[in-house]
Amino acid sequence: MTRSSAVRWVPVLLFAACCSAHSRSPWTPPGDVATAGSDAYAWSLFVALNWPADPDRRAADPSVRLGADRPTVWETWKNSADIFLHDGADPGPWNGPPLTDDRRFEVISPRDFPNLKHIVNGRMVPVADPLADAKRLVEVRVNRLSFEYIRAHRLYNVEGQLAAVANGGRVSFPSGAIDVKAAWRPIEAAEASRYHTLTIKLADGSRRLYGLTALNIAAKNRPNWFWASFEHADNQLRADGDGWLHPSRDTFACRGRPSDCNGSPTKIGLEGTVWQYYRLRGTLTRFVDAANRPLLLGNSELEAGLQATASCITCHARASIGEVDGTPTRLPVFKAGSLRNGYVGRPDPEWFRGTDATGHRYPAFQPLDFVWSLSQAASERGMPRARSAEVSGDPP
Amino acid sequence: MKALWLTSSVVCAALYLTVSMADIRQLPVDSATPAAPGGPDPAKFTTEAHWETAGYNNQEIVYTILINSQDSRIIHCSTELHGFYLENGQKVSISDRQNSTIFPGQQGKAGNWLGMDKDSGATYKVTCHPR
Repeated sequence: MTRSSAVRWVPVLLFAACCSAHSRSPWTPPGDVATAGSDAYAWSLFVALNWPADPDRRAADPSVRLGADRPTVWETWKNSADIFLHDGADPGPWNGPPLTDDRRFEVISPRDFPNLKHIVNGRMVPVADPLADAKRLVEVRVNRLSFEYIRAHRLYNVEGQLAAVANGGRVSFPSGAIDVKAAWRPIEAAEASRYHTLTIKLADGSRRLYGLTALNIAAKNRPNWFWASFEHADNQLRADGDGWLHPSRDTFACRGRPSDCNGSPTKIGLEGTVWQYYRLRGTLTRFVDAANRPLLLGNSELEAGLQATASCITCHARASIGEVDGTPTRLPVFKAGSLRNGYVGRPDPEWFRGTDATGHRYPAFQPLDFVWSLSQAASERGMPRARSAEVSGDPP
Repeated sequence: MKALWLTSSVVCAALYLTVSMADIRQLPVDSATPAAPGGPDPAKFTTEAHWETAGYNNQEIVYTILINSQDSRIIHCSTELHGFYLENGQKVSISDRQNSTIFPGQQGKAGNWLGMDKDSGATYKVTCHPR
């Protein structure tokens, strides 16, 4: 080890020895929520996943401090567009080339909506560059364990998913699988010291600065999924945002204070970094509380417009696939007749049943282990992407 | 009822609809745009409109107007849209016009509009003429 590299390692090793809430390295995702408590576990995940990455290894670079201006670990993971290809083909091995910006994000495009227009300065104008015109950019990424499971079980296309759940088959991701969903917004250069940033090349060749505004983490953990929702502190006052309809719940950052203190935890290495401006809005591992009331958790960026009926766990419980009249079909995200009214509370087994021609109820939809991103899968035979059932399974 | 629909297809000058919260999925309405005296027969078409969600987490709302040609000719259509959007909590009116060409017997999208407030509703008017 050279002197300079040794010097570079000193603060990192000091951080690891002194400041981590656990004995593990802070850049290593924690293994078990039970040993840490939900909110402490959420922050451990947050630190590990936001650790600066070595892009070649697509993993944390322990020689760099948290907060270094680099892509994070999760930004080197496979993007959903990497996995669910338009032709339903095998996405190839983990170490494939990274995506370009125009494919990285889930944007509403004129390719899907011809003659698409949006509102700019009080006028309807055509959407010319979906990236540039999007109010916010959203992306989904999965870690290697999750990706390898998808690939091994051919869940990257509709036919593979149907085969996986046929004849009593079950989709069950391994413990340690992690999915993240992130939202980015254009920011001013003056705001860059408060945000994890990204510069994107637009269609006209110009470059635009974006700040990370929200990060939802779903981690499979012995044997259930764990959800943690983070937002930038500025979101609650954003003029063009929804505000925070529910108070934050964070017993880790708010030790000794009410759990809605909206604080940043100390002694886990966030001080002096952009990450101190992010807040844990809450975690979720159960459908209902002790009084059988639905547990809600909504992110003002990632669940914009649906915070009032947002329950990560209930919504994700509806991730499913089935065949209705020979057509691949999924349960809809929202209740029939509503645009953004979600399901909360315990899943109803009737959701997953259909009615055949004789009026007999049968199990029409098979769960996909809470992983909604699987709904992006296309058919390898050119069939239409699985549609959402109109009202199938909705209780009367 | 069927006769009424048929009548409307002959005499209706243009289609003008209000879509509200309760009308997310509308029944198609037969329509025809009258021709000038001595001109060609009026264009025959139906329209439908709906609100839908889009984007990964369905976080965006798109208002879509479809035109179904029931004509053996190519028809040219003009769609006028009136709706609202929210700016800093205030309801603001917005309108737009979109021209489209629909081939015989086919369905075409008059347009897709992003960012309007569904709860405030929207109205539209479609006028079509044969080529």
